[in-house]
Amino acid sequence: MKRIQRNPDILWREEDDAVEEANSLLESGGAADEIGTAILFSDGTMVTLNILGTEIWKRCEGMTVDEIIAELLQEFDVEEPVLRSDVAAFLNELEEKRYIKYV
Amino acid sequence: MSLPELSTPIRIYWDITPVPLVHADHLKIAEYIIALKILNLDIAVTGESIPDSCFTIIKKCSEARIGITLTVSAAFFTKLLAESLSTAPPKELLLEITSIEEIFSLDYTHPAVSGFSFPINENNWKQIPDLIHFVSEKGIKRLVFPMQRLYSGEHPFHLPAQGIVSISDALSSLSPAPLLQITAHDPFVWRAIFPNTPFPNGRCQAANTMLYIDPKGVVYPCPVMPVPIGDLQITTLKEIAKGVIKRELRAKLLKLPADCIGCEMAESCKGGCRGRGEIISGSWDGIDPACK
Ligand code: SF4
Repeated sequence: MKRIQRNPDILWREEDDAVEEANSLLESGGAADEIGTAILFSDGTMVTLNILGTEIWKRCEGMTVDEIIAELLQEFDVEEPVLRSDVAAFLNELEEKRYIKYV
Repeated sequence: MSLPELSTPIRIYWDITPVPLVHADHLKIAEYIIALKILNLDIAVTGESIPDSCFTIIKKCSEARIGITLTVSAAFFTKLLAESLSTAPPKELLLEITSIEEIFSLDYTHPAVSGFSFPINENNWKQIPDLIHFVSEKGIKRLVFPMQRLYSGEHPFHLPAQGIVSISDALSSLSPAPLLQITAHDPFVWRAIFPNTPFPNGRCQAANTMLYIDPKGVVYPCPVMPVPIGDLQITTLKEIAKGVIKRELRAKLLKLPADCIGCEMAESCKGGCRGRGEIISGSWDGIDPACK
């Protein structure tokens, strides 16, 4: 299976305060989808990612899709088919934007 | 779409002079920038030579994975400078020009050069279409219309309404080269060049995605907004970026200026350039004069 590689031109950072807020919401059973926990910046364009997107993005450096899913299943309370389809949709979007490629 | 409100900026604009009037500790400021996890640092050197500290800043910040855009005066770009930068090159090197004629005496094809920075003023704005035609034809990849620097009391410039129309008309037949990336920070300059594309930043990003540091180390929300919000001789960049002065200012900028309420364009222009509006009217509720 091909491995994912980030485009090195994408500048990014995790938003520490937002990560903390999202984690405490998740711990208390709330939804954290709307909280931007990472920022990607390229050619003057900024994209924010929620906590799931951030966790996927952080792993887009040499891992396969299956490896990413296996790790996220340990972290998030979610059914595997749901996670699989969310990860696939997100990675497709990143690939279309040329933020990642498969090698 | 507007960009979200950030807890700290992602972009710093920093002007450096070779001989600062007040000695600003460049390396300390660079450490502050790294600590704040800034993503892009735009350094503009305003003078005839690049101070040595600048090379160290570029190296340290690049190692911290910060993208660096370095702007130098075109008149002082030399092969020697390109060589000095080769060990720690910035992501982008822009040559600042103030007229299209300056380009002809330049070695703009040097591989170190990414493109041009063209500060717009009342004497050169009519050259905008010709400049865009020229860079498109020559395959130049970057053209930046930078924000005006107003911290020394300069008068703000804006395109006249007729100028916006004439620039759009002059560019209407042009399909810019696909690789050319144009940055226009002024919402009305953007409208003149890209009349059919909404302004990418949505609303004013002063003190949100960006901060500006002047050569003395004084921090402003944006170069077009000469309202100091801190001094790096006294406090850290993090304290300024997370401080109450910045947050209160942002709250004001998120509201539409009172004088714009009821205007049918307000939904798209979001109050235009808020720095310019404030300087001219003396209030956060004043209209950007470019809108009139
Ligand atoms: S004051 Fe606001 S709108 Fe004007 S240039 Fe600065 S960020 Fe842009």
